[in-house]
Amino acid sequence: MTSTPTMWDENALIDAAQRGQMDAFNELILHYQSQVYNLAYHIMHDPAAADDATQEAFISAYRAIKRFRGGSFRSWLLRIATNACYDELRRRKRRPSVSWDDFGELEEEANPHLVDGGLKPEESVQQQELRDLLERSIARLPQHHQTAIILVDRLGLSYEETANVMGVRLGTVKSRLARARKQMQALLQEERELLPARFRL
Amino acid sequence: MTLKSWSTADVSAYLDGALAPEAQVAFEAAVSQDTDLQRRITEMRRMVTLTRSVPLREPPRNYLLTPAMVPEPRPVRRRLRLPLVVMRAATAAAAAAFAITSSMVMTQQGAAPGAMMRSVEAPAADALIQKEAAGEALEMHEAPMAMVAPAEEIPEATRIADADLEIEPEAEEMTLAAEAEEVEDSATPMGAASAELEMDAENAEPLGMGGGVEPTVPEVAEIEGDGEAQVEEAATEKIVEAPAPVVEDETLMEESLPVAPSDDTGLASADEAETPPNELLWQLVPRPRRSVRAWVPVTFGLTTIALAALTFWFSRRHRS
Repeated sequence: MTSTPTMWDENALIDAAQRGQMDAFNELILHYQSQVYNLAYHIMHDPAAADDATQEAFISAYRAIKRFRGGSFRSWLLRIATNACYDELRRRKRRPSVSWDDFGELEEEANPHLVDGGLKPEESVQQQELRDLLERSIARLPQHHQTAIILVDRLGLSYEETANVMGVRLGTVKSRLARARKQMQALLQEERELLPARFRL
Repeated sequence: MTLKSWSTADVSAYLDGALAPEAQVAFEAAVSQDTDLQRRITEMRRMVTLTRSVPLREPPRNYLLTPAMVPEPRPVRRRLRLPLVVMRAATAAAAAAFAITSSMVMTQQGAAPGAMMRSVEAPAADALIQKEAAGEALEMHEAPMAMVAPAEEIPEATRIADADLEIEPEAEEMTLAAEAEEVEDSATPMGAASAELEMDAENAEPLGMGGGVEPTVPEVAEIEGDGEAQVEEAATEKIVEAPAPVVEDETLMEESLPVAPSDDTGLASADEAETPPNELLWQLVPRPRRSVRAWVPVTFGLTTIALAALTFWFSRRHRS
């Protein structure tokens, strides 16, 4: 595949992938893997599990690409990723394993990409702390509220796309998102001293 | 529009521009007049901005696919489907056979308590008795003598058989008295015993696998003197034809067939002997049903368990 980001044509890549061209599908993977991984990370709360779920989601999507009938490819892909995460969570409930947290600092060492580059050390630390705070707060929400706020506020999906990913109606997305945001306000208020001044509620 | 009419969902949708056009206009009009609504919008917008401002995590690696990661599905499962279906069908068939045979055995036990125990001994007893009957029939060929049990005695005779081989003295007397009326030649005193044998042979039939009495042919031979070989031969044939009577032991056989006194018995005429003596009995007494041995449902039950376990193991192995 010789396409470049400037020649990005999602529909053409999808057509080629449906004809069996794996390179075309890999182009789509490169474009969406960050969103898929972050969705998986927010659902799984475990980098290793998110990694596995992301890979599994792309494999499942490639096997099912011939059944894609148009519409938002991103919402279709994220729905597959969401299902893969829930399947993995159910499997882990049946067969609990050692948590990634047990490895402590190994997480950062094994995943150098998690450390943001191009920032001053103090800025990087501050951003890391803020992200940790945000992820902790999101993790305290009910599962459906987590998914809604991640899809809309973290990944930037529209209400319609979110409804497709979650398999619910548009009104349900609105109500879940509103409740999630209100709960997030209360949770961040509890730790307002950790927030930057411009974000203190 | 008052402040209370705008919910958190409205505020949230307003921030995302997801309100309907009319609602959007009304909401903006309310915001310009309501400071509390302005505060709510500001707080929620700040939280949303915070959530959106924090960069996403970078994935630890690329997730590019290779042909080895997406292998073609193996057709092994389809090949294994047929044996699995056959095993399931066999399990179902064994279970059905178990249910049917069990119900049959339970029905038999309910009709004749203790029949199952006796039925186990039946085949050997049948063979022995039939062999004896055949031998005695040859010996008695020159002494035709028999009595036919009158039709009036059928209920009483049947009741005797149903009472598990306990022949009441009244029934015996009645039988002998009735026989005596029909005997033309009173000089043949052993006819009553032959009639008893016939009657018992007939009565033994409805008990099927459990409750019959095999007539004691040797006794017939002992008490017979001179006569009526045809009638006796017919009786012997009936005895041999009696389907699967069961005898617990020889003592029971002897006790259940008392020898009638010679004074009260007589001989049947040759004409009567030629006609089927127990035709009416054969019609009135219910035919025995095919018996089911106790080991049959047990065998089916064990087979069902074994097949079910094998099918379960096979399906689990196939699934994995």
